[in-house]
Amino acid sequence: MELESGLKVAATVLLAACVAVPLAQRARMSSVLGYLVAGTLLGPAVLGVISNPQDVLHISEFGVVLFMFLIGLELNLGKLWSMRGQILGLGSLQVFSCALVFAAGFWAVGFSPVASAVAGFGFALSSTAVALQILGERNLLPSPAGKLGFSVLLYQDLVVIPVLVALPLLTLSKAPMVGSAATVPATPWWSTALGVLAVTACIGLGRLFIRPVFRWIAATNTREIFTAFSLLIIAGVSVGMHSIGLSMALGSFVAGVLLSDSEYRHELEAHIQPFKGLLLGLFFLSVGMSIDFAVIGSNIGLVFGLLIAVVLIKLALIGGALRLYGLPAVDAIFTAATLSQVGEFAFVLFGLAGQLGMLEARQVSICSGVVALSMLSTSVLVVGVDRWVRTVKGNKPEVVYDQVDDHEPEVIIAGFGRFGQICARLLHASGVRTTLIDHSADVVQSVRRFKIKAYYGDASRRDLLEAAGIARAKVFVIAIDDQERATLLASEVRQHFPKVKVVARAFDLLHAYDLLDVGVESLERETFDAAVAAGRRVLRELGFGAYQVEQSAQRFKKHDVETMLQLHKTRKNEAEYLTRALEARDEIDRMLAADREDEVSRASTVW
Amino acid sequence: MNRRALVLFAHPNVSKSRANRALLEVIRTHEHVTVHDLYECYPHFVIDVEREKKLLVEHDVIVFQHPIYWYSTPAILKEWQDQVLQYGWAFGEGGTALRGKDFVSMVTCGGSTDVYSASGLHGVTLPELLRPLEATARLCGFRRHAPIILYSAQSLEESLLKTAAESCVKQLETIIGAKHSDHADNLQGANNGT
Repeated sequence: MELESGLKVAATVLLAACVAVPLAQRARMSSVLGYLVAGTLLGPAVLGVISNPQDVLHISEFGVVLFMFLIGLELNLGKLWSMRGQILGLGSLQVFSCALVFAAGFWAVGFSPVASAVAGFGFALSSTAVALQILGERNLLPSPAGKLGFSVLLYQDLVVIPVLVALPLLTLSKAPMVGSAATVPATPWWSTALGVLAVTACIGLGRLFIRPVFRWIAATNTREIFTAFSLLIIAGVSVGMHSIGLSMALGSFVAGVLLSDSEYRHELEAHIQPFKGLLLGLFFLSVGMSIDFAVIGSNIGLVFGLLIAVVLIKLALIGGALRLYGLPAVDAIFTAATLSQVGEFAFVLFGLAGQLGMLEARQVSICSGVVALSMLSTSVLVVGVDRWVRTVKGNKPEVVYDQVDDHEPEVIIAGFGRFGQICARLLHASGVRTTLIDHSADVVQSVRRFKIKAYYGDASRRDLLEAAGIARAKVFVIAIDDQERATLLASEVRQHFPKVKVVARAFDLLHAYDLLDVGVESLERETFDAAVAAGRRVLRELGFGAYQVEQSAQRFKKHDVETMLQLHKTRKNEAEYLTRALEARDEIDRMLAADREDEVSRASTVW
Repeated sequence: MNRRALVLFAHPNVSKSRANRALLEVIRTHEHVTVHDLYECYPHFVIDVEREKKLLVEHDVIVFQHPIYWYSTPAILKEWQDQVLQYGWAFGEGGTALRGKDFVSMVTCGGSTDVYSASGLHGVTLPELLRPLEATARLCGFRRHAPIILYSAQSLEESLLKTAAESCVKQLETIIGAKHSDHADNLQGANNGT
């Protein structure tokens, strides 16, 4: 694309995203629907703002690649291995049952056997982008339903590889092929072997090299370089994988898995998330644009008949398979609805089959139309099913999360210096799931040596907090030593995540006032307890009884905190503040003196 | 071999307690008696259970020495019972660690025998008030003894207080020196002071 038309596309896409997505969400629809509708409006069929949707589609498929990378980040090898039963069992059950039914249907309406097989397989697949976006928007990915849905999608991504390899072998022609995220160039058998080797090498080398390099990059403290490096990893791995004949999406997924246990995980997520979001949006837009209304219009009965048949069959078969894997009926239907569309991969497959002469041009257009419409129908269907599910479940909490992992910490601690560490140790000893964030790569590095989950990142970045799971955390601890940044962070969190309780470290009384100003209710002055403890020791050395000292210290602390809260209210008025401060000092003196006098306070203790 | 006694002492402000100071002065002259000041060791009420168990095992006679507050022990001694006397150790299945040891209460109170009587101010006698401790000792398999009571701790003259304290410790000595065959479940209260 030329620069000018590239910019035009960019401006159009950004505008469409800014208008369509808020509208869709206002109507409680998935953002996917907003993008798709905007795409159809912009596309050649309606407004014709963008005339060559295929170009846009190719660029935007990098969004799917980024998405797969982010999903890889969420799954480490151990988790992936523990899901192998689901992935292989449920995945093959879904793909083969659907493919068989669809192929039989196509064959029955007069497609050739080969065309039936290709179309049937294409229709069996779901759209990773659509389904994951919907599950992700609803925070369902960590739920049992989300995990099963993801297993199906991952299996589909794996199974297309042999299919794409085998497809050209079905014909003897060597037609040129479309390059895209999921496309594979014609591959001799040895390149598959090479691919396996490449994955293995990736795992080994990635573990060895990527982390030291990340540390080195992180140490430069230059944000855009970190972003560049994050994207470079994904682009590099994807290009590498593509060049040896594996899917780019799969390649970036493997890269994600490799980095999933790295301390930079959350920072990576934070950097890539916006790119992923926009590129995926672009992807949905271009799907919307590519809908060929002319062909659909002239075959309207066939297209909608096919669409309804495909969606219903998928709902039934996927829902049934999910039930077999123990999902409650309601969840199974919802997950089946999210997977009920035909995936973007079908475009590639049908295009390829068209070039290879397996499908006629008209068949390709009709099938592609059905695919695009099915993505649209999913967005609508999911909203409907969702409403139904809510009434069935009686508006109870939407999701029941099962085994929670580190992605859902109860507590996030920002700042892992001498303050945060002690706090974290107590939480750890009490079995609280804690995520740590620190902006020093060295600190994170040394902490990880003790097998504590710590991540590198700038806690004042909202996207990083989101990636660390703040939306679902119960408590956020601000333990950083920079007063101003701590106050800023506190106000940021209070504003954007009002449900999360904030516990803050205050440098001194004045900083405590600042924190109170931004709405932090729970704070500790960092030297206060230690100073009281020192005073306690002095009293003990002077011969005061341990219990008396304990009582005095506790009363003193309580009084001091109450005074702090009162003084906070008058601190703008200097004269009043001073009077009140002096009063408070006399008050505690009197109080503790009274404690010393038996007849006043504890007359009953004398025998 | 001499038997050893563990005095679990609970007074939140011993410097103000004439009676308990008087008792401790006499008790501390006995080398086979360990005085364990609970408020001093656990001012924040977090009891070191393992340490307490070890102390209990090492001694033959367990003494609760405390003032009577609100017809009962000071708070920390209740906490001590709640934490230390665990099922499976002190009582219940396999809970035989304390079986056969001696238990006795040594208490001080402000009032006289008159106010601690059926017709007096409190309407109940001190040995009756100490029944819960007696039941605890019984469940843990202790051999129980009549409580040693120092009455009128607030009003006794200095010399009388000293005599009363010595009399209390003498009773304790009798229990420490007693042979195992002596069964001393005589739970009638003995009076010291007036």
